[in-house]
Amino acid sequence: MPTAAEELAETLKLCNKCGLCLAGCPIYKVTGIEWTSARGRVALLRSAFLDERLALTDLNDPIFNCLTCNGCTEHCPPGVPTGDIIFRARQELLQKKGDSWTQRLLFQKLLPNPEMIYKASRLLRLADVTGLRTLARKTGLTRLVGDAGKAEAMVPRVPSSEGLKAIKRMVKKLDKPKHHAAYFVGCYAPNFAPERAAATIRVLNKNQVEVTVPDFVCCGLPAAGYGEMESARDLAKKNIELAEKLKVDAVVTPCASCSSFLKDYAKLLADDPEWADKAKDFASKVRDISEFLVDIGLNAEMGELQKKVTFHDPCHLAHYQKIKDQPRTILKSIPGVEFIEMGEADMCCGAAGSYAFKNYDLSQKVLERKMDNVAKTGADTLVSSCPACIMQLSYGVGQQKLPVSVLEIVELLDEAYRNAKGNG
Amino acid sequence: MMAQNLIKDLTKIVGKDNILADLKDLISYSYDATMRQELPDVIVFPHNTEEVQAIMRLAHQEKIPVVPRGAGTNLSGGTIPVKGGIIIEISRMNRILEINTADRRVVVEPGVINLDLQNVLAPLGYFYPPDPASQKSSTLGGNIGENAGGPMCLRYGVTSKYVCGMEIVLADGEVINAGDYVEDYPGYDLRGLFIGSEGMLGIATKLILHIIPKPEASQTMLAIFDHLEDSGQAVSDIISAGIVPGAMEILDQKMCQVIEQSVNAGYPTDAAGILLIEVAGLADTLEKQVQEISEICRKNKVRELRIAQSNAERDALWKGRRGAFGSVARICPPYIVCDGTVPRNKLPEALHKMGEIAEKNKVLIVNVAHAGDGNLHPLILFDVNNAEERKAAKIAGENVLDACIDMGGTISGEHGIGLEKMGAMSSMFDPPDIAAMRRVKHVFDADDIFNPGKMFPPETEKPQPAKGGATL
Amino acid sequence: MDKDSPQAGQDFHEKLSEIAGKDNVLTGERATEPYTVDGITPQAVVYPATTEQVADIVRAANESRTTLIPWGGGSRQESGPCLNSADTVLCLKNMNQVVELDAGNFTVQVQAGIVNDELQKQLAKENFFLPLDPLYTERSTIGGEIAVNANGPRRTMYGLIRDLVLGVTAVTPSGDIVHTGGKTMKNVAGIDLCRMYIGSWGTLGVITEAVLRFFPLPETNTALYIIFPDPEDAFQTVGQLLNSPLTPSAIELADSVAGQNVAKATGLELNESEVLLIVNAEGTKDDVERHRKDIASLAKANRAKATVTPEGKEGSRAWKVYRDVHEAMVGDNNSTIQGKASVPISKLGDMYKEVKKISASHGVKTGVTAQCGSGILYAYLTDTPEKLVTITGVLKKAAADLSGFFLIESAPLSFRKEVTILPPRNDYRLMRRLKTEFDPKNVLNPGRLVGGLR
Repeated sequence: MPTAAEELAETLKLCNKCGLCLAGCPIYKVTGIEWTSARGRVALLRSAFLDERLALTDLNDPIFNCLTCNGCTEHCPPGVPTGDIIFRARQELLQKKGDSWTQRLLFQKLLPNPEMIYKASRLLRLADVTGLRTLARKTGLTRLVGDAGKAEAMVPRVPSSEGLKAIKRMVKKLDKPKHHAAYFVGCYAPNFAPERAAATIRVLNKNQVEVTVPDFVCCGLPAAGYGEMESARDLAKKNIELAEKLKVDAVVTPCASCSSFLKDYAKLLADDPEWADKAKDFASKVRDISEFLVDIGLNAEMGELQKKVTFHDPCHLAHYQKIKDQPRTILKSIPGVEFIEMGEADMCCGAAGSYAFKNYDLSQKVLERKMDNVAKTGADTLVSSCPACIMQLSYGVGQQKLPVSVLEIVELLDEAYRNAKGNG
Repeated sequence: MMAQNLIKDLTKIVGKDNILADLKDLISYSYDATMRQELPDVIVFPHNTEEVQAIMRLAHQEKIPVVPRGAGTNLSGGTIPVKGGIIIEISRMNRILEINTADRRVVVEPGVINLDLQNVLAPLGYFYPPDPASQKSSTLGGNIGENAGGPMCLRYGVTSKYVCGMEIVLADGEVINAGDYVEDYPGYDLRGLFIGSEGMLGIATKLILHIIPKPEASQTMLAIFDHLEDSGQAVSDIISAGIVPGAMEILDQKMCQVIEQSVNAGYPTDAAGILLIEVAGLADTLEKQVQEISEICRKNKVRELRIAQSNAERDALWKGRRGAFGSVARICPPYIVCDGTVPRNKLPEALHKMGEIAEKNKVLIVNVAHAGDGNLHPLILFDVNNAEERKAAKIAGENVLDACIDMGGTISGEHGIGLEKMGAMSSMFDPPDIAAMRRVKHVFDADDIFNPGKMFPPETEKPQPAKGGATL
Repeated sequence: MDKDSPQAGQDFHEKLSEIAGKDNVLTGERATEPYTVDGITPQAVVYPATTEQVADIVRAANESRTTLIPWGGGSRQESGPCLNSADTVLCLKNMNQVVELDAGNFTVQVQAGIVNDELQKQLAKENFFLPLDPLYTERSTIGGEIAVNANGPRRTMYGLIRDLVLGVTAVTPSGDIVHTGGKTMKNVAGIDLCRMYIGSWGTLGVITEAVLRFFPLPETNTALYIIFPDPEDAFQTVGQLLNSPLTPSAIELADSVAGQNVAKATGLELNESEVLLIVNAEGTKDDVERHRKDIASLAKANRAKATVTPEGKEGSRAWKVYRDVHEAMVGDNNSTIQGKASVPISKLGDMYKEVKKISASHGVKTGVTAQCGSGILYAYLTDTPEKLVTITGVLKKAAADLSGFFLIESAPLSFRKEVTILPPRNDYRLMRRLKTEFDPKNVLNPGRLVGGLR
């Protein structure tokens, strides 16, 4: 078994310190500190892994406060895979430090089980409905849990929902479907935004796509982001196994983080002889919703929406999957929409999954910069394609009191379709 | 390692959120874009001139070396703290203070990133001509320290022409305003001395820059040649014809191959050399310029001419050029980049010489050059794990600089001397020349606080301090 | 050695003859009188032939504590702070050769004593020119122009002399020969001593050679002479012109006092309170035609009274008349001073207004010219010394209020001795240290530049 140092040696040495990555790093932009840039993190990891000048355990922040947005790789001509390096380093550091009980609870008990996630979300809803959550926040109780407590305010009021069950009930059979897709619902929509799941299914149906909602589990990105590679692999295997039994053209999701990680299953299981090919097959079927709709030919029977719209590129869409044009094509095709390109549209919003819960201040600084860019467009509608981004952007818009509604792209599309003349 | 009381004093000046001194911090600030590394003792992030002054007073009192630093993207070792000390990181002094297009001036803090300024000026129809390849990361303060160049220098000139004035904090904490917002300021050109002084004379805390209207129109052309010398001759002929393109860059075959591995710019990989030309000027006369240039290229046996038909095509062509150095890094991270510059008409000869030097030393040299200025960038590749190749590469680098001097050129067109070319200074300059430079350093910074150990070869003697009381 | 002793002086003069040859040394007041500067007649004038001779002379001067005054064409001797000693003039008129004209590189290496016009003649033979057009090019030397940072109207398009000089060879005040810069367009090797020597007024060294970049002669040129009844309209035109992609080669302005002859030469009527705006353009035929059209439209849109475009010989004559304005204003007149204001480009119109207002309220006769692309204004003021001192103070404040400065560009000796010529700056201390470092014995041009700071 190669050590982490051996695995990473070649990629770490690829960096020639040109410093162009500084141009794409949101954390560097808000801190100005060298080691928050890709060049700096790579240099420190090199010092630890190859030169043995530093202990990995001294590098908790350089390893964990990276957004892993991969904004750096776009600027890196030799193509240093910083995101991958960071993930590997997290895995290594975790092994050295060991798991905390909260991490074990989260990644081994909660996330692999959609039912458990649903139950947890109901508990939070209870706290919302009884006013306990607001009380905890107002009395400063939440601050006792550090950054997670500060970030708690970002999680919106939990709606009433019946979870995945309810979403499965939304599935309709189409008369003459042109395509068949499995809708990968993810962890967020069924519990925190069921109306978005409903919108997704409606939009797919409108485009002659017959939808099934299998019992997929968490895609595994949160676990991988923490360095819990084994948990991530277990989740991947569950999803791959499930998908094998399906007869669909594509596995579609409106969550950029999910589609990105699902596509990475091939890489994740490349070294496992039993799963490598199956993972490759699975990954080849995965589509982000914008990608899918543009591929199959977007149904243009939309009503008018008089909106000034701007788009925030989720990192997992723009930097990981290199999908930038398709969302814009979709938005520009909605009649009545004036599309305004935002400055630094593909710069991370600071959400990075659960990043805010461990690095609240940095997350906020990055969000502030994003909000500045949004405000400069004069748009009244901010669209993105990832629930974490949406949550973060909504929070930012609220903080800055901007007169901007924040929507998933499927929600805007859904609205356009429902506005069409003679639409039921 | 710095004494705790000094770290405390510095913390009092900048605040605890603006000082770093852990080993991981020191390692992060021990390098730049060269392969050298030396640890500083502490890094501070001042926010204003007063803080910089206070830092300098302390450093001056305690005789601690100070290295001003922007993004650390320089290619000569300019920001490596060879004698340890304090790194003054200007990245948090990054506000654009004033834009006045009617005066053709902007006033900025030194930590503003070059490209950020360009992006603010572009919608106003203006730009700041110096456009080094590092512009999306490098700071304006850093650009001034190295007198940065870039492709646009061909038509518009170098940084020295576009810096009107600076607020500078000297070694003892005194503040002066060199140059001015207005023109023809009297007295010695201290501003001119400071530009390109590689952080050795002081630290600039405010910059007054000259901006100009963007050209009405521009067009990007790619000329593909079967012989490198033909491309060099074409460059010479174009300028002799009185045409001054916005930029003219030559890339040789190996360079194109390397670039296309990393960046999809659409460069041919089977041509001896390509000439990337940016034509700029008034819209109605641009077409004629393009035709004239095309004609000249044809006279010089061009194989193919491509004219970018859209902004996207133009960006793609330039993306390749701007990603040149980094692409080389993919196949050979510790490459040596030379910055020798020759008189423009010697360019074909120089490119030929690079081939000879590569063969003689058995190393691989790929070439990219700011052709119109005669500013070569031969990149020397070698196997870093092979001691013989390392030595051969170093000698090849020396050969390159010697060749440039022999052809009437200079050892550095835009990257600066720093550490990398210190050894070559004595090949280019005589002792009285270096002594005069040392005199200037002595005037600004007698105690050698700022960026010590750079530029002047250690064997050149320091001049004696001025004797005799002169009554002025 | 006591330099005031006749013996010491004679020894030094003998040394000069040894170095440069007897025929190249003048002694005795009758011979040296034409080189009187700031009221001092030098005891000797020496004409070296090589840089090495200059170095030997400077070294000898150091040893015998003789002050040296580098001399080109002597055209700027009424400028700047006064010399406080002038023992020997070191005149470079015999070092006037083109050393190398590199037609492929567009650079020329010259000896410092070559007269500007002479260099232009030689460049013109190969269809080149140097866009350096200060006053007195018929006698000023390149070395001198470098030393005083001389610039002319063409700075608007081609940049300053700072941007044209690529290399300088100078003899330092201690007699060392220093080579700075080179002949390449880009050169960042070492500290930029080239920039240090430009505008150093002969106080840090004697410039003996220089490398400059030149340009191909433009295909054609044009000039528009425009009368504006309202000066504000003229400055508005300038503002719009500068905010466009046009690249005029000169934007000059003259008031009715200074511009009278020019107006006559072009058949224009220039009444009191009106101004004459001259805009030149040069380049390819198409570029020049575009400039002519656009500038004429701009003028019309801004209520110009009349515009003429003199061509050929007429055009050259008109321009010559404009260039002679300075002589016309200053002449042999001992009661006229020339002040120079430098203000932000957009404030030039305000400065013009102020000058007019102040001279009216002080009752001082004033003529004004301006280089509009650079924010530079020249005011020719004629009156008694007392009134001139007063009005100078008021103009200094007016310029400072506009974030600029006002200095005395040229004036009779008595005036220059009386007023503070240079505006206040906070880097003079550093400049003085630079002078002391290079010239501890104050051999070269003592009193000039920072020497004249109070």
